[in-house]
Amino acid sequence: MRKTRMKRTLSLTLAVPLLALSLTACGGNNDSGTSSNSGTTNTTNSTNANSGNSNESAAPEQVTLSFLSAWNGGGGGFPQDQENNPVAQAVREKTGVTLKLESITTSEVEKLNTIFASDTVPDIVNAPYWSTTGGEGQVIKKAALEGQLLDLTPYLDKYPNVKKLMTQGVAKDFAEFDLNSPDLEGKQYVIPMQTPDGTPESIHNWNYGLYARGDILKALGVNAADIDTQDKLLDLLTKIKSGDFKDISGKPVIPSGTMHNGWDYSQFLSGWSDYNISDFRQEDGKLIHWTQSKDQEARLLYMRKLITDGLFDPEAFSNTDTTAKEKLATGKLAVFGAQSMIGDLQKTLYKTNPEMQYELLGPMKNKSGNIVTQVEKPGRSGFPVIFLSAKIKDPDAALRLIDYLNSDEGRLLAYWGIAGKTYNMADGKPQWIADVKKQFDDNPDVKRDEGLNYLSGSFMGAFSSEVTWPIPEDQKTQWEKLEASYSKRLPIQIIDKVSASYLVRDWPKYQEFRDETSSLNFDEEFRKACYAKSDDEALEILHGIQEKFKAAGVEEMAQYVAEKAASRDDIGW
Amino acid sequence: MIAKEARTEVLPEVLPLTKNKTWSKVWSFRHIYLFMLPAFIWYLVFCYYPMYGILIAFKDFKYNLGILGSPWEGLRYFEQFLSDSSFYSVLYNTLSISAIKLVFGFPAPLILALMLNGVMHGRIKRIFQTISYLPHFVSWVVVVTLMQKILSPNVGLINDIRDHMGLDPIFFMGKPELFYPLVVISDIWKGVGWGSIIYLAALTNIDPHLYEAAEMDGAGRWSKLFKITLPCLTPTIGILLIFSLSGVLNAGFDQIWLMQTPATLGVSEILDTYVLKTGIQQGQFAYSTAIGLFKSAISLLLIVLVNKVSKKVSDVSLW
Repeated sequence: MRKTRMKRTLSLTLAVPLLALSLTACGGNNDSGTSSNSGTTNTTNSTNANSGNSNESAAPEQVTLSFLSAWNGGGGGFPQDQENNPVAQAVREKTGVTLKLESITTSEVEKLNTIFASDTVPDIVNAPYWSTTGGEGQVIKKAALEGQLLDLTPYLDKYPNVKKLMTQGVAKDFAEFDLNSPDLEGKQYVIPMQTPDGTPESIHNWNYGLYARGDILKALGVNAADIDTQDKLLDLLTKIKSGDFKDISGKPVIPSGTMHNGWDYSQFLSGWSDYNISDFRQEDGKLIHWTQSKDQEARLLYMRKLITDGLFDPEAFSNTDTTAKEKLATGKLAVFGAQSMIGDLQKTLYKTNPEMQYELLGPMKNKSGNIVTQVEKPGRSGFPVIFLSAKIKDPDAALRLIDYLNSDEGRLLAYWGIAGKTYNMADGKPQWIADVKKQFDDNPDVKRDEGLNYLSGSFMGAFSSEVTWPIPEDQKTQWEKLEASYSKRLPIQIIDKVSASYLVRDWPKYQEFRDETSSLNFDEEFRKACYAKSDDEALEILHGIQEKFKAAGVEEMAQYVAEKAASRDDIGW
Repeated sequence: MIAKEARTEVLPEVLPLTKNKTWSKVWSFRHIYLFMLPAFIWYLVFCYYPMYGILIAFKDFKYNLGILGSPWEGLRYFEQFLSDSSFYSVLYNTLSISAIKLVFGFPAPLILALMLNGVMHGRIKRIFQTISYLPHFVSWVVVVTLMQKILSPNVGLINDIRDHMGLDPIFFMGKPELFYPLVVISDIWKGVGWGSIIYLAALTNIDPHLYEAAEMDGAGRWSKLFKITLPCLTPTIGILLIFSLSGVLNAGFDQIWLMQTPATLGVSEILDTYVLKTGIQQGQFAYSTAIGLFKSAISLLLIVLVNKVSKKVSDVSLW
């Protein structure tokens, strides 16, 4: 009997805490409005920090807003101390806003779909918005139409800097068909970011291209500028493979590769590119959708040759950001296709093995014989955007912040920090204080932690720091000079036309076509074909996906676009 | 006999004669039920409550209208999936991977348990057991990352050895013909120890007198295995087989998703990865829910069928 009682007591002692634990775990945290703000919840926290203070009426209301950078690796510019770095403190003084920063290391579109479907949209989100007919832009537009995003239209007159962002530096056709498409019924939900200031010089050059290790080129006696065709590239990679070159740890190099998830393997196929601004191409006097181009076969077979001959990293398409950067930092890739990656290389390989510094190949020539370079319209088509959650409790605080940061004073603060501490004004232009500049140049993370990267990277638009505050040649770091030298060799090509892709929106079968092609992924099939057992099998995969697009009506669509385009003279392919 | 006496002593106390016997029985075992309560609540909150979400499969899901408010679409998404060009390949891959895992992965824990049971030295047995359990606690992310490192064509250990032997490197993770073997081997490595626990427990329940009697009759190791051990384990094997067969459409999402590369996509796209791609990546929530529901319905049907067959053939069943 005593034993039984003991058992019962023991059982209760164990069971009650277990039960309490499970109930606690299941329970919702209903008092979240009082204090903490998790990144993905709508927790605008408004408390007047100055209550009782004599300056109460002048000081801005203190508000904490959650901010999501929905970019894979977008947290790279976040300072370690998010709330009390010097810039954040100054922003709080001016606007009353404290940001709780969150970023992702996964797919952007996955994150966006997740926050919308689970109704956990942070107060402010910065996300990619390349188009409203696919990818992230499509997801954002759907969410806007279904009430997840705040309509900014009623607020714009109150915030002139934000209003300016809506038009300045945005390509005309993108503004008309994407940003203000008729189905949005005149409402504006997204604020364009990283747009140029309206001048061609302010368009940012991303310096996409092929970069080869300088010491290897030297050893082979190859001039980087001479490699400008697909054949010469193949020849170079073959020589590298047989050259027995090593990385910094003495292991064989990989002749060529890319950054994460195959970004950007298209640089190895740029010989088949052209100055295109739409989804359509003119081939043999006929307008076709890009998926149906004859070049696709040649592109596929070339890529297959690189892979099967051991000239291209077989893991390139499954590289994570970490593994790709590891290869970069160790000089493992003799040639890589992407941006110049100077930001990463200057902290790693260029420090340990400066002799391995990469050189820009070519530039490559495209199918028209012109250099392969960045193609832009006078304004930008597709850019990062900021949108606000429909459930944000204090939209004015968020817009106050964006408006301030896009003022002259706000830009100075975001890019240069605190006057007298990190910079001084000379002839109306900011100049770094010498000691501070040295610290920043020696270790870019110091600049990041000072708060000088995250606001300029996520909250600015219609602006170019390079145009507004050009750095005198004698003050540029060697890396800035190197980047500028690449830009000089890769001048941006501006095409002032309306993209033919927009003409298709009136096609009566457009929605049907989109429904049928929504689950088709041409690039995924192309990558799969790259690894097929034989060329025949690879071509079969390619033709298979081309047929699926054809069956969805892609030829009829191209014909419709051609007819529409014939009546206008401002359409570009 | 002693156990029987003890039971008769307890029963009158815990089963007082009342009108409502069931409730009084529950009350008598209230401590045990209290232990069950957290699990019950867990199932209620995390399994049953979200189940209404399957309605999305029949609706044109709109964020602003929510699951209940979105307009009905009937069986549109099921028809779309069945006529999808990927349907057969996705189903084929799922069934293939499950079947291979079943053939090679199902007997592995049983074999390990039998082997461990044969180890007489207690300390060595415990060491082996612990070592074999450990991989279960390592996440698939870590396991697949390790595999990628070891099997990498550029910096991997295996290819380094091949290189020293003058052989060309092999991109193991990118060979479709090696995908299934790698899936099965890693799955067995990770789960075999954990899976053997149930068999080890069942083995301890076998009456040692049976073995003693068999030995006296001159039975050898194999005879004892086939005549005593396996027949005694049949109910356990049967139940676990029913569970395995019901999960035949679960080919192992985490593992496959992480191991998938463009090169192996043709053989590695399974229902779960397809659901993720269409749902979370393409935002087609209704369509992906329909695929998920299709999978669940087939699994339910399978468990009922297999249970029925098992009951008829071997008298082993879940209900």
